[in-house]
Amino acid sequence: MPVAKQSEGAGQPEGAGRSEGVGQSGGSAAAHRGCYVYGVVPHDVEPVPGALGVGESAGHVQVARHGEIAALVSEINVTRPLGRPEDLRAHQELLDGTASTVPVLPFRFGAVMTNAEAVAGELLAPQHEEFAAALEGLHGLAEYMIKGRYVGQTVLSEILAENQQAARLRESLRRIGDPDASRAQRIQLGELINEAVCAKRVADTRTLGEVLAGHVVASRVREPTHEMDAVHLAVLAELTHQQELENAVSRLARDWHGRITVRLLGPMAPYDFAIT
Amino acid sequence: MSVATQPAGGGRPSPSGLADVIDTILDKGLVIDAYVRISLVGIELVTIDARVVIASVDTYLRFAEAVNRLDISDEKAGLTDLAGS
Repeated sequence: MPVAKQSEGAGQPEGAGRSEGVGQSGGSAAAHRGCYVYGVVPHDVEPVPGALGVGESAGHVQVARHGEIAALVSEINVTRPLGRPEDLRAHQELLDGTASTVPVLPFRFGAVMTNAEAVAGELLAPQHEEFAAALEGLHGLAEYMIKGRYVGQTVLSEILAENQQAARLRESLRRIGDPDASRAQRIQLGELINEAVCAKRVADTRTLGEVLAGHVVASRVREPTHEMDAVHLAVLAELTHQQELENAVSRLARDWHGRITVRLLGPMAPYDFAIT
Repeated sequence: MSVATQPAGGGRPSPSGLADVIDTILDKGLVIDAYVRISLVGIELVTIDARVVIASVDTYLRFAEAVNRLDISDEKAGLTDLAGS
């Protein structure tokens, strides 16, 4: 579901601080309400009608505008903790759905301001030039993520074949047999394996970077999130070149078949490349 | 081997696993505190387990066990081959 799209033949940018019915209610209820901020987009973006935001009894996604830029926002009850799986998904799906159509500067999960007027006046207005320039720089681009996981049996066999010290230690451990007596050696063996996996990760990440170099605008190595992670690379690429990116990743996945399981995620909001 | 792009063009984000969502968005993106001070509203965030790989003794023991299991399965495969020949 594309959750925000650029309106056709959009008119002039609206005036400063103009917003659309978010968090304008007065009285005590307003004290519990906040304005959740997803990200910054060009001013002519319209949320898809009915798109719901994060939080329990989520508000509809709306737009707070200032000059050439706008923020995607929704009303939220700030007395309830935030971070259920559906909240995380709602945050990402809105931003990713938007990024597949228009440039977006994603905010970190959990950004809340008092109301939409504050978003326009205190967030967008003072940073108008920086945000507008950053959006311009992201025009036609989106983030993609390449994740690869080692096939345990294959990569462990590789390591034992390449690392004589590890192979010898394994043999000696098999002779000892007693798990309690061999604890120190098992730790030593595991440390050797871990070092070898880390070295392979560096080498395979370099290979991936070289393969994708001609297809991406920028790339950033992410930290592994699993000890058998082979590659975890965020790239910024032209949306119109997605097919070429997919082909390049597919070719590498064929080379790595049986050794590394590769996935390509995207297009996504530029979580790793948004700067002002 | 085919690589599934999620979503595969067309701008339809498919529901991906929660692990992927957490990996992707947690601690990523612009930090609002860098831009806003007065109208910032604090909201309690449910503690989300950011999965960070820190190699520890547990990791090493797991790796050692995996290597050990690898031996056993190799041997079994070898025996099966012999038995079948």
